[in-house]
Formats: sequence, C-alpha cells, structure tokens
Amino acid sequence: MNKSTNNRNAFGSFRDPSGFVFYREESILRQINLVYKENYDFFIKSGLYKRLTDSNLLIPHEETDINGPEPGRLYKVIKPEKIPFISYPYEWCFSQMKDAALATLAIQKISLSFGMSLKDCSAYNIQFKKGKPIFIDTLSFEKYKEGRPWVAYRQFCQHFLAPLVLMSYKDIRLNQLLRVYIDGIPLDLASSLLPFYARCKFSLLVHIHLHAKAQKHFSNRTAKITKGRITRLSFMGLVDSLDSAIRKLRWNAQGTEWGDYYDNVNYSPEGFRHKMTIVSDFLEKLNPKVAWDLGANIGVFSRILSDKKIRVISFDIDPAAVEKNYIQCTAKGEKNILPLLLDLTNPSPGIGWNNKERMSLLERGPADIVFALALIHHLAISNNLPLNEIADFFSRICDSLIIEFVPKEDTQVRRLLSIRKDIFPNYTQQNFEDEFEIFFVIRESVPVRSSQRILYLMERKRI
Amino acid sequence: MVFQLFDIMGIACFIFFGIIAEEAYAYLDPGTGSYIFQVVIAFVIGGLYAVKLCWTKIIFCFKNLLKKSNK
Repeated sequence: MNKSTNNRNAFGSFRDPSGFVFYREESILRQINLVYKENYDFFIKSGLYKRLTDSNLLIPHEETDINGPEPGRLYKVIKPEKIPFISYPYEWCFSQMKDAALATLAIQKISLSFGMSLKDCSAYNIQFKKGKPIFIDTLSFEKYKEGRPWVAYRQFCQHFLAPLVLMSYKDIRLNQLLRVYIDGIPLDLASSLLPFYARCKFSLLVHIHLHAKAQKHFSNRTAKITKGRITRLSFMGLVDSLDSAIRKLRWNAQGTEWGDYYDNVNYSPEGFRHKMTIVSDFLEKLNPKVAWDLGANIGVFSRILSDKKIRVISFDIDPAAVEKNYIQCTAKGEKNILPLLLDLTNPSPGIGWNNKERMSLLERGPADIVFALALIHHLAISNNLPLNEIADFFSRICDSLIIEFVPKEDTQVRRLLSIRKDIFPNYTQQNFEDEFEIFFVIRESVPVRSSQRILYLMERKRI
Repeated sequence: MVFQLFDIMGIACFIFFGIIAEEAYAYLDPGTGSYIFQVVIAFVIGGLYAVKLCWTKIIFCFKNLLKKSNK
C-alpha cells in the first residue's frame, strides 16, 4: 500500500517506536510495530488487556487486517474505540486531574499483578469517556523486569503530581503551566514555587523536593550503569507512596469569581424558568448530537442538553465552577457532560512539535450547537471584543447557535460599565443582529420575561 | 531545619550509593536523576510499604476477631 494513500498520521503520536496512530477516512487506527510484538502478545495473553478494559480503565480495541502505513515495521493494526472529544490536562479541573492520576496508578498496580508495567505516564494518555478517566495508549505496557526502577516515574511526577501539588498548595491556576511545559512541570520549578511547609510532608519532600535535587545533581553526569536495582516490594511501595500522596491532596472549590454565580444571579425565578423553557424549546427544533456550552458555569443549562441525551462539553473560565460541575457529574453519574476549563478570549492553542502535537480548540470543533448564554457582554464589554469578531468566531465553532443578548440597560452590564468609560457605542441590539446576520440566519428571537435580555436561535450560513 | 536534615540525608544517600542504575531501554528519557533516585529511596519506600502491609493485615485480623466474638 502506498504510504501516503488515504492515510494521515496523528500528530502527537511519533515518539514511541512501538507504533503510532493514524487516520483512515473517519476511522482512527493504531499501527503496532514488530518491535512491540512480544509485549503486545503478552499484554493480550496475560489477561491484562481484558482486566483493564473490563474495569473501564483502558480503551477497548479490535484487531483488524488493515495494512498499516508503514508495512516494513508492521505487526498489527488495531482499531481503538473513538473518544468523542479529546481534552488536555491544562483544561481539567483539580478533581479531573486527580482522578486521571489515580486511574494511571490503578492501571500500574493492576499491570504489576499481571507482570507488566507502564513505560510512560503522560497525562495526555488519559481522556474522559462517559464522565470517567480512561487510558488510551494501548502500547504503553511492557513486561516488568524484576529489579529495574520505574522508567515512567519522572514523567508521572511531572505530569500529575507536580501540577496537583501546586494547585492544592499554591494556586489553582498553576495547572496552566502545563500549556507551557508539554512534558510536565519541571520538578525544580514546582519545588521552588511550593510553600516551605510542603517540605514537611514526607511524600512531597521525597517525590518533589529531593527528586528535583537528584535531577539537578545528575543532570551533567553520565551514569555508569551496572547494578542499581529496586526490589518488587520497593517498586510497589513507590507506586503506593504516589497513590497515598495524591489521595491526600485537596482543593475546596470556592473563592473564585464565578464559583457562586447562581447564588448571585440577577434573574427573577420566573425569568430564569422562562429562559430554561426558551432554550429547551429551541432545542426541540434541532437535532444536535454534540454541544458546546460556553461560559457554562456549573452546568445548569448543560444539563438541559444532557437530559436530551446530547453530548455536551461544558466550558468555563472559572476553576471553581468547573470543579463543582465535575463533582456534580461524578456524584450523579452523568455521562453526557464533560466540564472543561477554558478562557474563551485565549482558547487552547495548538502546542508541541510543529504546533500540532496537541490540537487547538478550533481543530476539535465544530459542534452541532453552541450555547452562549449570558456571555456576550463579558466578551464585548469586559474584553473589548468587537461584535463582528465574536460573530466570526462563533461561526467557526458551530452549526447552530443559541445566544443571549444582554443590553446596556441590564444590571450586569451597568455594573461592568460603572467603573469604566463607555467606549461601546456599537453595543446595541441592532448592531448585534446586523453583525451576526453576516454569518448566521436568525431563526428566532424571544425576550426573556422579567428581564431586558433576548435569546436568539441562529443557524450558520452555508457559504 | 527539617529541610536541611533531609537535604543532607538525600545528598548522603547519593554519595553512599554512587552512580548505579540499570540501563532503562526506555524510548522516553527516564531522567538519570529520577532513575537513580528511585534506587536511593527504594530501601525507605519499600520498608514503609512493608510496614503498611503488615499493619493492614493486623487490622484485618483484629476486625475479623471482633466480628467473630460479636457473633
């Protein structure tokens, strides 16, 4: 088969010689190289694959007879189940990151009991499926060799432990460092940012501070590799120690700007109920499968979508709101909602090698429908974004749009303008409609009772 | 003070163990420091884990005894 025929290798899947992910038409496939044959066969025959997939910890796959793009190295091609929406660690809230870390360690513990071990521990190997973290890299398992230290220890500490500790001990926003450091937060940086009292915790002293010092100590030395061994008990102790350290980490979702939004909302109960009814009625006219709720807060309107069996990505800028949303999802077993952290004025860019290892937000769209409720004034007034720019952006991320226009007479907008000069003469309902009609057809507009706000149902123009 | 004590202990461990580690054969760079560091802390971490396992077993046996005596 011609290497380039109808194949597109997945960016971000080029480091591991064991294999790589590629796309063929709408399918996502993974070539397993001959070099990984022994480990793959053991992985299947030992029963580890079955155990992990039965426990919903690993993405299931089918073996195929498809020819891979690189036949010279080919052992098999497998077809993993598709993840509906790829998310990244810098988009996760604290509990999502913690659950992802614990899932990785649970996999490592089970693997050890089957005589295998994880050879990498990238946080990007975890995705969220039906509300739960799941491991997606089938080729990350290798036979455990008694005495050998854990090769993925550094990566686990940098990808999971350091961000979680910084979020818990210092500032919840420090997970954004993962956008800068694609291979996890350097431990010397984590060590320097942590408050002094973090050193009093034995696990943090060992896995962050002393670990960072060891990395620095050996950074310019060549290891003479001879007889360094750790026993199986110590290996398991290391994994257990990381597990205990992560389980003890806490963060209370409070004290951020929007975390208590619905306690202070300026709708009357009647207005709020009416808004929910309008949104629900709009949805009856459409048949969306995938929705993005932008500025979702704790996901009140996302749940209207979820109740209609629509998969929804529930974005918000506030870590406390996303945390509360996720906790509610896990408590109620809600499988259709994926809460994620997103600053809409600076959405996740393409990062990594060639700017293509991790996809931008736009590359992961478009959604069938986008909700932009009680959002436009924050974009236009708080962030000085022109209405035509906002309309253009929305037209690139969705087919249909439910958007709420919040006029200057609204108390929230008056509050925003109370401490600054009104430099927004174009922020009017007429201009809003004019600018959006360049990209969308306005299907319906309904004023919300007991307020001055208007809800619109729009459909993107097919150009 | 606590930090300094552990700091000295850590450096002492490195000197004691020297530069010893088995080749990783990993496609990822496991990091020389991270790799050797595991060898250095293995004794302590393994010891603590062994104590934890024993303690868990003792608690388990004790609970079983209590259950039987209650019946």
